[in-house]
Amino acid sequence: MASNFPGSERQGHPLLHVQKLSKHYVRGREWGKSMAVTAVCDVDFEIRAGQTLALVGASGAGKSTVARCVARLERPDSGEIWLDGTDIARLNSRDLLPIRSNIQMIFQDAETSMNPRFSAAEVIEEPLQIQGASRSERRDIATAVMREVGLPAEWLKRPVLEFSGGQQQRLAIARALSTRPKMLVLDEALSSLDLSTQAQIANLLLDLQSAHSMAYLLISHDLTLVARMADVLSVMSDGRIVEMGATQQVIADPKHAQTQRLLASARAAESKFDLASGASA
Amino acid sequence: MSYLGRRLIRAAFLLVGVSILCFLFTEMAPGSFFDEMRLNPQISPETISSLRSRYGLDQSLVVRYGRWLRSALHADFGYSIAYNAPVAPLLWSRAKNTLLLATTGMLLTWLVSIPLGVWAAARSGRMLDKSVRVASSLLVSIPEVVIAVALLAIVVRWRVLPVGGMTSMDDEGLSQWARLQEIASRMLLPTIILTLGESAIIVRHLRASVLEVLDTPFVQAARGLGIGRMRLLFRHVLPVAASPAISLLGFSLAGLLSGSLLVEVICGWPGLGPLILDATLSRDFYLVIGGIMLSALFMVGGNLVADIMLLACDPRIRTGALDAR
Repeated sequence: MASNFPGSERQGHPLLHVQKLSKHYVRGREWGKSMAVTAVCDVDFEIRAGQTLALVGASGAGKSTVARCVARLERPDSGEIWLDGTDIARLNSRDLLPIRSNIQMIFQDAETSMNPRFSAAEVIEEPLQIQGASRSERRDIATAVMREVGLPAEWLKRPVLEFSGGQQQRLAIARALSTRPKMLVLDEALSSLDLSTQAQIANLLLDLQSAHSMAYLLISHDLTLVARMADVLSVMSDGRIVEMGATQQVIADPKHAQTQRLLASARAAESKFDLASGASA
Repeated sequence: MSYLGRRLIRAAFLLVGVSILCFLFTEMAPGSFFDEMRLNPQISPETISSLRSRYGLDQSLVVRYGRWLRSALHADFGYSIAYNAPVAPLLWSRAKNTLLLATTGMLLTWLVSIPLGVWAAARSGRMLDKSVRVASSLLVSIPEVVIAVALLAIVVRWRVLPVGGMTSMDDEGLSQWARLQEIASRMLLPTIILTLGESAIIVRHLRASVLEVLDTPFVQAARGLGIGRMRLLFRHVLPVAASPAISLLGFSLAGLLSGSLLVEVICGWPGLGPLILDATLSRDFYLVIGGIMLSALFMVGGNLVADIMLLACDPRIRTGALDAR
């Protein structure tokens, strides 16, 4: 199965290339007067295979909208999203279907991101079923990805609700892995976990990334985590990317006022942690 | 299966409670079956009091309740003075017709409400949703009697359907199939009246809970996986959104029964409705109590069915997650 994944020879090739992405929301349409709210404006970035790009910023900066557009839960108003050679920004849902297996999203709250009525097997196998995999194929892949995320394969029959919070996040990752994606969008995927579970899941994600050279788009407000996981750090403010660079460099020498503010508040909140040494770990 | 066991015990207690209240309230109600006889100068007071003692009406309330309980255990449920017969067979011959009406109404209600509620929620804010919302709030707010009388007037005026009774007078020579058609055509109006009022409520509830579930992250996640609209709605959203609607099912079954009593009287359907109405007007004590007990039984039974369905499709009840809250 590992053969599905291009190895490090494609390290230099941008897997995801986002150009001039913009998205507005219309508010208050029911009441006659409508108001357009700009969530994301002219965002550009690219992520290479095996690389992690982190989007940080205050809440309301537009990070999640970018994530939702890239995973095509939303249709962007304008701009291009090139994923592995296809512009997915304008595709309709039928044309998107085969592409969905290449890009998967992991949500903040694993418990609510899975159907509470489903068993682990149903959760993991559903994307495969949508993609038209046979029954035995699905069973094999489900067993394989359960092992990969460190859950016993016997638990496949268990209902989702019987898993603990950390196990549910592993299960959500297993679901994302089932279609062998080239890219994962992690929308605050580690934020709702306690610190030790968070560290375990972060390690798991890093291991999976190096095993399959997946690209990660990491949405987070936790700079310690970002420093540990991300190769490239971009800072968003009011729907725009205001600063972008190698993570170490940005943290060591923040140029934009918003970046400095985020770093200062992160340092104040976690004064015991040294961001720079956390990054080198 | 302690959950069901508890429900059953509770249902039994409920029925005993209802029967006690029934006796208390009918005792408090003014008048008795023999009041009209008392006005008749040709009947002597002695005759009346001997009749009273023959039916045991001169005994104290506790004694009468005890006797009724014994008779209930023998499945007679007391004795009707007006019909001079045990209550249970009287009720049963009519209850069949009521049940036929109510269950048909129920099936039709769910057949209409589930697709309509889900569809309205899936297209919330669009034309269809808006018209469903307006129509359902109209139907909820107009009393069922008014809807029934209005529809009856329309049907009678334009002679669209035969109304009144279950079959026509001269049904002896009819074949089985023609009889069935006759019953179906006479059932149509009461069923439609019942369905209209009941589905308005269920459509509104279902729409609200589907909308809520459509907004949850797992549905968003499922969309992100590329799951199509139909599969999303019926495999993911509906099972989760159905829980509140299923609890409503118990009430709606009870509501359909009590509603059908009214509709039966209006449309002349030979069910429990006209029987209980007559019994109440003539103070036929045990028949009234029997009728109330039967509708209480239907209500409790309906809720029990809803509980079993919930148990089957809500894992939180099975795992006890709701009890832990």
